[in-house]
Amino acid sequence: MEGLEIDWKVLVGQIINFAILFFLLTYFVYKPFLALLKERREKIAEGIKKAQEADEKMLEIEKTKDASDIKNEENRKAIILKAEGEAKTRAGEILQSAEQEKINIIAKAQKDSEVLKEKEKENTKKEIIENAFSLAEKVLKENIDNEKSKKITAEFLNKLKI
Amino acid sequence: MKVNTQLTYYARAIYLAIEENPGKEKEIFENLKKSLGARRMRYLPAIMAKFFKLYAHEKKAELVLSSNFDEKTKTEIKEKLKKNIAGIGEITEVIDENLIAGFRLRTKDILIKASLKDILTGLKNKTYGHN
Repeated sequence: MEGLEIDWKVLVGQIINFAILFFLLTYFVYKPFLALLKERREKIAEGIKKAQEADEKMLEIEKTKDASDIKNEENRKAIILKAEGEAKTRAGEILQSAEQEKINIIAKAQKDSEVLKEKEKENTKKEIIENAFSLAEKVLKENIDNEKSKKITAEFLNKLKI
Repeated sequence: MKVNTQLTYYARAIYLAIEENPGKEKEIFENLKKSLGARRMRYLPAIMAKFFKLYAHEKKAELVLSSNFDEKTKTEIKEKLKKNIAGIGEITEVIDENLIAGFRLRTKDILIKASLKDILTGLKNKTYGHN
């Protein structure tokens, strides 16, 4: 059992080594690692917080957007209703105007037609008169010779009194 | 004023005086002599020449006949016209067969329409309702 004896010097040395190693590891590795973890945790927490804030903001925006959409929809409906009303009024006016225009056109056409008819009548009358007098003139020219002309001239002269 | 212009004024004055006072020709010429006086009496023939020229021009008449009648008939017509219408001087003739029968007489102041053409035109105007 001589080989299994505790070498107190080695043990103390080992303990001292372990203490030194422990101290070194604690001071140079464990603490910075903890600090790193803490920092990382904080960043994650901050990220989560920001994400939550973003979600909240998004929610708020969506709410606002929804409200805005509703308002817009209402406005749109109001505008459409107003436009429809105006369109109906305008259509009514246009129809009325068109009707009046139609009446005016018909009246004008009737008047023009009457004027044309009257003009035609007048032209026909004029033509008849012109033809009748041309014919009368032609007949007279053909039937009045020099002697008759002399006689007629004498009659005119006899009637002449100034 | 030029002498010639003055003579024309005298001639026109005599013409107008005779026109306005028919039958007083002698009196008018006596007044002219008086107004001229012995000094300007030498202008009288020139004034009278201008007067006759003016008179002939003013009293000139144009006779439009429908046919070219013989000279005797034309002379008779002219005589009758001169007899019936006062103040007609020389009559010139024109033939216009469009008159059909009858005549027209045109002076400075009057126009006599005495033809079948004029009667027809009058009737035509009446038919149109122009008269």
